[in-house]
Amino acid sequence: MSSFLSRIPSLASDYSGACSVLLALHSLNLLYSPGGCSSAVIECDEIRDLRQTLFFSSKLGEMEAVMGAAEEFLFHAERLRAQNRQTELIAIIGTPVPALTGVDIGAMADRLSKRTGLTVLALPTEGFETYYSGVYYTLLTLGKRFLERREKKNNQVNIIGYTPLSLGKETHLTELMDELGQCGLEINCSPIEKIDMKTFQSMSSAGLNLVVSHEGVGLAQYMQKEYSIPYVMNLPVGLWGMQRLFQVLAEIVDIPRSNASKQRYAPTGRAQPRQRAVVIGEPLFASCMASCLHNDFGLDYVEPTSLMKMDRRMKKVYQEETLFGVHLFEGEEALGEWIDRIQPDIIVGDPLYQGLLGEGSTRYVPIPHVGLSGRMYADAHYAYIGRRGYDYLAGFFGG
Amino acid sequence: MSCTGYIRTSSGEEKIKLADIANKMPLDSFFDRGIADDECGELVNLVLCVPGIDVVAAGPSSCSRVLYFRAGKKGLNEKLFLLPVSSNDFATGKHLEKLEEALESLVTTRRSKAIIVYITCADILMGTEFVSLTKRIESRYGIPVKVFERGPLARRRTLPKERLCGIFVDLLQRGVLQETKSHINLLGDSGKLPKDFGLRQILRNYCTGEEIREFAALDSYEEFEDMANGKLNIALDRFGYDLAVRMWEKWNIPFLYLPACYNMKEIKHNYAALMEGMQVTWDFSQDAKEYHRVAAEVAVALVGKRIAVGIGPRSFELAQALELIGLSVAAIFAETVNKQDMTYIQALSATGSQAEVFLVSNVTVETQMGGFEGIDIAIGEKASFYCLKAKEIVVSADYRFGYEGIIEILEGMR
Repeated sequence: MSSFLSRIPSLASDYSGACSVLLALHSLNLLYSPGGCSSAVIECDEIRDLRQTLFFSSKLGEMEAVMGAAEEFLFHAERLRAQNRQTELIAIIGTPVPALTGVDIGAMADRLSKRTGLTVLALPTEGFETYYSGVYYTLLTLGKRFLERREKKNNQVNIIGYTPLSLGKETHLTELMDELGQCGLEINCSPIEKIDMKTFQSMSSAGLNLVVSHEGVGLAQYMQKEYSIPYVMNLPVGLWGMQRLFQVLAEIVDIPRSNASKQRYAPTGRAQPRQRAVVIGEPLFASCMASCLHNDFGLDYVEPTSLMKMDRRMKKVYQEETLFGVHLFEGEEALGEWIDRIQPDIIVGDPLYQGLLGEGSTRYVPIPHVGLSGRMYADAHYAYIGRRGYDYLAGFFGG
Repeated sequence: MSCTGYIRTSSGEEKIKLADIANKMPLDSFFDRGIADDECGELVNLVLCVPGIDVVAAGPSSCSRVLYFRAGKKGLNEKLFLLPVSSNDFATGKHLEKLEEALESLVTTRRSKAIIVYITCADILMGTEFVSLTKRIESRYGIPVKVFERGPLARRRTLPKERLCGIFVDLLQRGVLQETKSHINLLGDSGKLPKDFGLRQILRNYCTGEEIREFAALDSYEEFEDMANGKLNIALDRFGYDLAVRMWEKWNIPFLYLPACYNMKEIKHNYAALMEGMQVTWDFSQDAKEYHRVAAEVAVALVGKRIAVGIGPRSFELAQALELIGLSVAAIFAETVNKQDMTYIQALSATGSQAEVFLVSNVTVETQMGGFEGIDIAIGEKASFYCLKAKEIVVSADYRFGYEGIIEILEGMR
């Protein structure tokens, strides 16, 4: 079959990524669209309760789509703002149609900002790129617009880059939050809470940024440059991930040395050196999962991979050392062929990737990736972080 | 009458009296709030349910992604192929080359009987010309390749399901024979009728000599083509009606239109129409008795309970049916209000309904936070989105004949 045809869905789009970041804020989110584009967010990509958000999509007719409908859009946006006074910012989010007709979303945002007195973010997403781009760009835009220099608090850690699209439900991160809290660290921008602008702005006083997805790196790089806040890219998958995280934290912020001790995170299972494994997922997830399988379960051969199209705006992200070992594939056919060649014993990844595998004895460890499979498996029982992640994986690796 | 509606007005007015709505029809909003819709017959599934037809969805990845999950919900994505198109490919027209290659590979590897190419707003806006491409494939391989314009932009010209009907009629044309066979076609988009459902049982009892063909449950592409030779079409919804009208215009196949309804008068009309169309008589008083029994029990059990209805286009119809039973509808959530709704709005007014009407996109957070506390039962996605503490009743989009639809809802409310 043609290499152009795909049997699994594309990753969630850039505007879904933008929405995913914004839904954690008190933001009035307005999609500039003929009408159907919001379905992708509502039906597939957003697994959180939409009642907690203000997410609207315009409905444009053909003439409005072609000729532009900026004035009408702004008029109704202003009215929505008047009806929802508790919003702290407004975002205008682009979709394929305004991208093709050349709508100036930046100018619209400026005008709406003047009329409402609120900060209005222009997010000219296009629907052609992946959610990685959308998350990256939105986080960076928020950082540039809202952060300002603050007094340093060395025990404050920001968690950057969490969205359900890459990491599933926020409950997956509770063990990480608990462990950081036990070390006396103050966590800012918690993934499990709605974030107000005051909290967001206080990010610039942190002693460290903990980046948990590659799409969060742009903001961390910006904050390092502007506010001299160091960052680490580490999603603490399994016991090894947690141990590594606390070793790194101990070098940067003030935490008890015992938290980084090897005994605390010693694996209990037996090693499986002859097993060959492939991990497919978001690049940082894949990299950290591969490290966990290697160190917690003794696998000699683990290849982290990611099915994604690179975005040139994110080129600095791809240069991060943590991601060097990750194989990137643009198409599912190339990934399928590569897996056929490697003949792994185990594959860790979203259940939808199983459709790319031929008949064989490969064991499959399902870790849903919402950015790929949407809501299909989001409620499934699985874990990847810390002790819980180790226990889940041990169920497959005989630990 | 205390019904009030929330509409968009240039003065920024938020509430208006129901009596004023008639002068401002149709009511709509510029923005849609992000709320999931009640399950609806999805266009891609309508095509995918026909054996032998493959679908290629070409467009921005954000557009084709939705189709995958909609088809997946019905287990139909085996025949769905996605062709993600980059912005560069759109700008240079390169996606047409890719599409042609993809179509060739599909016809040679899968023996498709027909292919429908779904295109999106992006190609509609660009005015991309697909005819020469599809003609080339058709003449080279002898299978029909049709282009279907999906998406909200296309919707403004003709309804998508109407265009899809046009495509189906084109495909059916190849199956037309001289003789008329004795099968009856059930035309509708809501999927296969469950075995124990009323219409199926009626047809089984009264049409012993005729084969029943369901559009949504055909066994082969040949059966699909043979629908053009049926002796009667029974249309179950708007899509079925459009298709039946075209089949009547083209091939003189008579049809009955039996849309699902909640209103007793219309339900009785459907029974009468079915009997007349099939030239049989039967006593459906048992069905009516069962409905009245359930309605009476529910009316007693739910005395004083406040109900919200928000099931999409038929919300006013359902609200009126519930009020007639003696239930108290306190809120109706509507995305739009159009002329068809006015019949039910007027009927609600006439019976002194205390219902308030909310245009879902205009409900403010303040109203949401405080206004719906007293609702006990929320019917449909739009209602349950706002009425957080209410018991949620999900309304199935599957076809229900006669009293089945309303009985099912009433049973759920108990």
